Amino acid sequence: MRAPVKLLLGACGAMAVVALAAGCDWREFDTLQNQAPVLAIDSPGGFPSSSDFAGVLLPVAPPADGSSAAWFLASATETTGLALVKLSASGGASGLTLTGPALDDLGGNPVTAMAEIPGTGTALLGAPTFHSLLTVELSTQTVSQFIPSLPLTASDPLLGVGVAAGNLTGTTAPELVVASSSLVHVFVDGSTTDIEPSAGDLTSCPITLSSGLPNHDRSNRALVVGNLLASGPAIAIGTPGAAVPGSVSLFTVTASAVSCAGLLAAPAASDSGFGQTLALGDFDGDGVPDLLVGAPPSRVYLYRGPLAPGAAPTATIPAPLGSAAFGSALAAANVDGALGDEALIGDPGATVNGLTGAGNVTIYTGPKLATMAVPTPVLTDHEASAGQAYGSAVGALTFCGSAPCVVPARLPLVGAPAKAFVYFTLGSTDPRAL
Amino acid sequence: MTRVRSRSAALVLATAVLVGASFGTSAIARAAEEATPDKALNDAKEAFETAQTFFVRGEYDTAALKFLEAYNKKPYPAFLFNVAVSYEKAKQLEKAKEYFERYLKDDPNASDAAQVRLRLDVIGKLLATPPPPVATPTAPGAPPATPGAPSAPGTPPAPGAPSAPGASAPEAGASAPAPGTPTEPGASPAPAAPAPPVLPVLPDIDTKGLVVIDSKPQGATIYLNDKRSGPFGKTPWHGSLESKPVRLILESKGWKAEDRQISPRSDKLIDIYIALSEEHYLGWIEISSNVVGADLFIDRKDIGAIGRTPFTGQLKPGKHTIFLEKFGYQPMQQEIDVPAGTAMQHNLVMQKSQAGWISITGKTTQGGRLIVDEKFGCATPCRVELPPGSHKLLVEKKGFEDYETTLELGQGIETSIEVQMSARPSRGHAISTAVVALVIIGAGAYVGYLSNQNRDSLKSDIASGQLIDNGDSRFTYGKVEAIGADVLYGIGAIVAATAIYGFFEHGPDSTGVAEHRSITLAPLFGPEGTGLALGGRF
Repeated sequence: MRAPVKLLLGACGAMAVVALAAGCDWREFDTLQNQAPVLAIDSPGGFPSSSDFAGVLLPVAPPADGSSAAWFLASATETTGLALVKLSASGGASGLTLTGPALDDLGGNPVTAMAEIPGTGTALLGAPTFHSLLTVELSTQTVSQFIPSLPLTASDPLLGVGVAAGNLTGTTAPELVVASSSLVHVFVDGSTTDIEPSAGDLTSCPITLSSGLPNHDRSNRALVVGNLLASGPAIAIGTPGAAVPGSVSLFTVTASAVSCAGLLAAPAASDSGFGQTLALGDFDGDGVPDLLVGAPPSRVYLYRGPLAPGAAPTATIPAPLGSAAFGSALAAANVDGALGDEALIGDPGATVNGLTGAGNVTIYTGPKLATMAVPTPVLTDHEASAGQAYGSAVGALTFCGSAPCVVPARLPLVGAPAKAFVYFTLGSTDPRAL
Repeated sequence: MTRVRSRSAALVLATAVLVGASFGTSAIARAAEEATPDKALNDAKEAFETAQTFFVRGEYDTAALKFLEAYNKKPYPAFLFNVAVSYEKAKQLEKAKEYFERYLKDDPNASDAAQVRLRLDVIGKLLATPPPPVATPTAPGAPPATPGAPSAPGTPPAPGAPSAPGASAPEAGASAPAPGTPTEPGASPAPAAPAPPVLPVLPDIDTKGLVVIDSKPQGATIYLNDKRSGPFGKTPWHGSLESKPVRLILESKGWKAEDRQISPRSDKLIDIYIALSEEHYLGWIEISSNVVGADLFIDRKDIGAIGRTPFTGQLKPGKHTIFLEKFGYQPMQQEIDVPAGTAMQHNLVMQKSQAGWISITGKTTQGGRLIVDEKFGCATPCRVELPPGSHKLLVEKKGFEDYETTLELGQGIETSIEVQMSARPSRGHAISTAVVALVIIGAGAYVGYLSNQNRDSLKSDIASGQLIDNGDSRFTYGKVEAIGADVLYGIGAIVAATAIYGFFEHGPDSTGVAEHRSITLAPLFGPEGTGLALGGRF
C-alpha cells in the first residue's frame, strides 16, 4: 500500500476515533435549559391562540399534595381561552387548556378578570363583554357558570370587568366582589345574592367608568380586597378617568351593606390613568398591607397602609426613560426574601434596545420604594421583539419546591400576549429542585 | 516465441558450425559441384527436356517417345510415368495403361503408387466400355480440336480447358457429337439411341519432375532443410520432390558437409552432383546418451539446443562444452576435446533428478511471480525444481489476490497448479469514501464547534446571572447542532469504517487446482539407438 493511501487511511481512522470520543452531548442543553434562570411558557396544546395566551395572569396557590410546585391561570384577551399552567418542582411547565360548556357558552368572549377565592381551590372569572361570571375548580379544572341572582340590566354593563375575593365580613366563606362599569356587587358568605353600595355611597365613592376610556381600560378594572384600613378589610376599586384625574374608591362591607369608606384621588391633575391598576403588598415589611396604585403611563403611587382616605401617596414612582405604559400592570411579591415586598411594575409599551413596544417590567425593592431607590432589575424578554408587549400582565407566583410548603418562594410572573415568563433566580436562592 | 527464436538460433549455430568450418577450410579443400560424370544421365536429361517441350506443345505422342528415350538412357521410373501421362494425353489409353503398369513395376514403393493404381482402374473401365455409335459424322473439313478448346462431352478436357459435366475418356477418335453440332443438310435425324452408360472420369494429370542427387563419394547422408528432422536418404538418390524451394544438406563422415538450395519443378530434371571435399580440419562427434531426445547444447545454452541425442555432426577442433538437458533428469555438462579430422564418440549418462517440480500455470498468472518458502521462485507461468518436502507457495500479482498454498512435494513428482487469480477490488472507491468520511467528520467537527460555542455561551450567561429563558434560541440551535454533530460523526465513522474496510477488502480468493504427475523412466528402443523415455502418469 502506498504512503499517501496509508496516510489517508490513518487520518480517516484517527478522525473517526477522535470524533466518536469527542462527540457532542446534546443532553447538556437539556440540563442547561432546566437551569435557565427564566422559564418561558408558550400556550398549551388546544389553546385557541398562540399569540394571545398570557394577557391576563392569575397566580393561584399550588395544590397541597405537592404534585405541582406552582399553578397559574392564563387567559387570552381577545377570545375565549383559558389555561391552567402547572410547574413542577424542577421548574418544568405543563399547560392545560381548559374546556367545558361554560367556556363554550361565552361565545368567544374573553375572560379578562380573574381572582383566586382564598381557601377554596377555586377562582372567580369575569367575562365582561359577555356579562358573565364563571368559577373554575382548579384541582379538577372544571369551569362552571356563576349565576348571581341579579338582573342583567343595561344600567349595569360589563359585569365582571373586575373580580376579587376575600374575607370582608369575618364569615366562614370569603366574599366575592364583582365590578361592572358602574357598580360593585358583593356576594357575602357564599351567597349568590349580592349587596351593592347605595346611591349615596356611589356618590361619595364614584366608580363609574367613563365611556370615553379606551376599550382596553374598560375590559379589566382594578379591584382588590384586603386589610386596607385601620378598621379592617375593605374593597379598593380603581376608576381611571378619560380626561380627568382618576380615583380609587374604598368600600367597607358588612353582611348587609357596602359602604363608601373614602377616596384616594389622583395626586396630579394629569393622572387620568390613576387607579387603572392596583396591587396590595407589604412593601415596608411592617405587616400591614400597602396599596400600589398605577397611573399609567406616567407614574405609580405607593400608599402605605393602613390607608387614610384623602391622604397623599407615600411615594411616587416616576416612569423611567423609554417607558410608554408604565404602571399598566402591577404586582407585589417578596422576590428577594428580604423584608418587604417588591413592586413589579409592567410597561408593555416600553422601548427596549430600540425595540418599540417590546415592553419591560421594573422591580422596585420594597423598603427602598419610599426613598425612591434606584430600581433593579429591569426585566425584559431576553430575545425581545418590537410590539411584543412584554409586561402586559404581572403577578407573584407562589412556588413550593417541596411539600409541605413551609416557606414558598414568590417568583415574578410576567405575561406577554404570546408567552408567560417565570423568574427563578432573582431571589437569594433558586427554588427549583435541580 | 522464445522457443522459436532458440531453435532459429540453434539452426544458425549449426549452420555456422558447418558453413563457418567450410569457409574456414576453403584453402585446404573445397567441395566441387562438378558436372555429373554420368553421360547417360546427361543424355537422359536432354531427352527429358525435349520431351517436355513437345508435351507443352501438345504433341503428346512425340513427347511420349522422348520420355521413353530418356528412360532408355537412365531407367528412372519417373520417365515411365511421364510416358504414360503423355499417352493418356494423346488418348492412347492402351499405351498409357501399359506404361503406368511398368512404372509401378519399376517402383512399386513409389509415393504415388496408390493413385496410379486407381488411375489404372479407371483407364481399364474406359477401355472396357464399347464406343458409342456415330450418330452424325462430322462435317468434312471441320477443324480438329485444339488445346484449350472446349472438349466435347465424353472427351478428356484439353489442358487448361474446363471439363464438361460427365466428361469421360473414350478411345481416341471415338468422340460423340456435341450438342448443337450442325448436321449434313438433308440428313435425317437418327433414331433415338439408348442412353450411353455413365463413364468414369480421369482426373487431370501432369508429368513428374525429377531430382537426381549424387555425390562423390556416394553414401553421403541427405538432409532436407534441417538436420533436426532427420536423414532424408543417402546418395545416390533420385525421385520427385514437391515443387517448392528446399535446402539440401549432404554430410558424410570425414568429408566436409555441403548444402544447396534447389527448387524442384514438375517439368524439370534437376541433377545435383556434389563432389565432397575431404575435411581434415573439422572433427566428427557422435553424442549418445542413456536418454534419447535430451536437448543438446554446445558451448552456449542461451542460443538454444542445436540437436537432440543421439547426435552426430562436425565441430571445430578444440575444447567444447556439451550440455544435456531433459526434464526429469539432472542437467549435465561435459567438456570434450575435438581433434581435427577424427571421429569421436561420447556417451553421456544422465542421472534421474532427485527433485520434484512445481509448475504454475493459468492465463491469469501471466506477469506474476511465484514465491517459494518466502524466496523468489520464478516469474509465472513457470516451473521450478525443488527438493522434496513441504513447501509454502505464494503466487502474487499486482492487482490480484494472492494465492497461497502449502504442498508436500515428492521426489520425481511434478505438481502442476492451475491458478486462477482473482482480481483485487479497486482502492479508488475506498479512497473516495475516505475523503467523503473526512469531509463528513470535518463537517461534524465544525457543527460540534458551533454547538460548543452555544453551550459555552449559555453557561457563561447563566453563571453571570443573565436572565435568559429556556426558550433561548441557543438551546435549540445548540441541541440541534450537537445532535447534528453526533449524527455527522456517526455517519462519518460509518463511512470511515467503510473506507477502512474498502482498503482491506479482499476480492474472491484466488484458487488453484493441483495435479500431481509422477515422472517415470522406461526403456526405449528406437531405430537410432536405445535409451530411457520419460513419461508422466496423471
